[in-house]
Amino acid sequence: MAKTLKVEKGVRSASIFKRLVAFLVDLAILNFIVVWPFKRFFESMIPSGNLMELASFVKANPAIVSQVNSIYLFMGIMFFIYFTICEARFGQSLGKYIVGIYVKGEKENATFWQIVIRNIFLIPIFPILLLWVIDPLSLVFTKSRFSDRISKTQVIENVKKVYV
Amino acid sequence: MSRRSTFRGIMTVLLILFIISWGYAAILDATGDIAGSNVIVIPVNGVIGFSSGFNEGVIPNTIIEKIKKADSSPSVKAIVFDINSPGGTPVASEAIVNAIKAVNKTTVAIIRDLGASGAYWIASATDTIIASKYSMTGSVGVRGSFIDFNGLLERYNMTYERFVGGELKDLGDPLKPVSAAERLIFQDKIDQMHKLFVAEIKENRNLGDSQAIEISSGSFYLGGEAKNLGLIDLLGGDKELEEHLKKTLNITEIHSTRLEDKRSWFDKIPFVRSSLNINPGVTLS
Repeated sequence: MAKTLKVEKGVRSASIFKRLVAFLVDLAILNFIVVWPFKRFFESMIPSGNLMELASFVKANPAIVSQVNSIYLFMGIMFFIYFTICEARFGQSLGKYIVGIYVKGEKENATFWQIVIRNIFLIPIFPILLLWVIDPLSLVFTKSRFSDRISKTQVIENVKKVYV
Repeated sequence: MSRRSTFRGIMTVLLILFIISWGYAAILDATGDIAGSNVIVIPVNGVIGFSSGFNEGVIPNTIIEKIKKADSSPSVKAIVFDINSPGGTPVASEAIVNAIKAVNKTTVAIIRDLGASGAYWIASATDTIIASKYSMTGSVGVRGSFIDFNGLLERYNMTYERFVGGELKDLGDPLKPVSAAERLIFQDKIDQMHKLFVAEIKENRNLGDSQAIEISSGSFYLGGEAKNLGLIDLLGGDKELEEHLKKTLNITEIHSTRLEDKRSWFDKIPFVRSSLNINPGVTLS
């Protein structure tokens, strides 16, 4: 008697491993696009040396320190723009695209403001910076970032179920 | 939305971010590193001379570039030359001196262990010179030298075969002995340079004739002696520099930026640095 194969398409929450790989891919790309251009600037302005030398340099050069801070803020905003536009418009960043996962709202596609909230952690300003500690811990213990929960978004992947 | 159009869209976003980031970095590279500073410190460390790009010493073009950058920045009120140099070639020193004289802001030189000869010439072009009582400065003289290898050739039974178009074309060739006439020519050139050098220092520092004669011996002076001779203005170090700047510029806080040299990884290789520091010829030292 011939067996019949039945294929059902569905979705499930993306694994932490896939999310981590996607994030690392995005970081590598953004490192080249957003961080690399400032490498020469940092090298020429900040002396290489031990922590004591660096501390005395920071104390003696407040103008440079404020310049460096503004560059970090610029980089954070660039990261934020990248993730927000890509996820709001396409549901995916390049890293997520490569590993095959995407962002959705709880029932339908996430709205622009939901995406803004889930990516706000990228802007390096206190107290938002606290999310850099809270989000990874939350991901490890509850399998979703704290930012995911407050933005009511989730990262999912497509699955195919095959029945005989 | 198809996978292809998603990919294209993401790439477009990345391209836009790429252009913005590189554009901002280019603007910063041109002016941003001194933005907000009211004092710029330019280090003058090592032998002064033009080079092929490997020399660890003071290369005029890089110093002049820094001077122009500081001079064109509206926030900068003063340029400080942090000097620790034995001097160098006359032309290279003169190039830096001319750039300092063209500056429209307050200029100060602080001499560390050594600010002699060509380096002192550079200091003399600034508005104020500060040096420690242990600093060695002055040395307003010119020297020219080369090693005469003639004896070495004779020892190994070798000869110098001479073919010249122009009697003095091989003047200073180390493989032949220096004739009396050639010696006179060399000395004359050195004397001419020395006269010009002393005149420059005299003018820059408003020295009297007797002071000019005193310094023309080419001797170096310690900070205290240099102050008595009018070669420097203040005895001291960083504290005195800070007080002087605050008083002269009428400011309460100094936001300084030190413009270090940008060196490539190739320049940082130790053997490259040490092997290319030989500058034969005439030097102010």
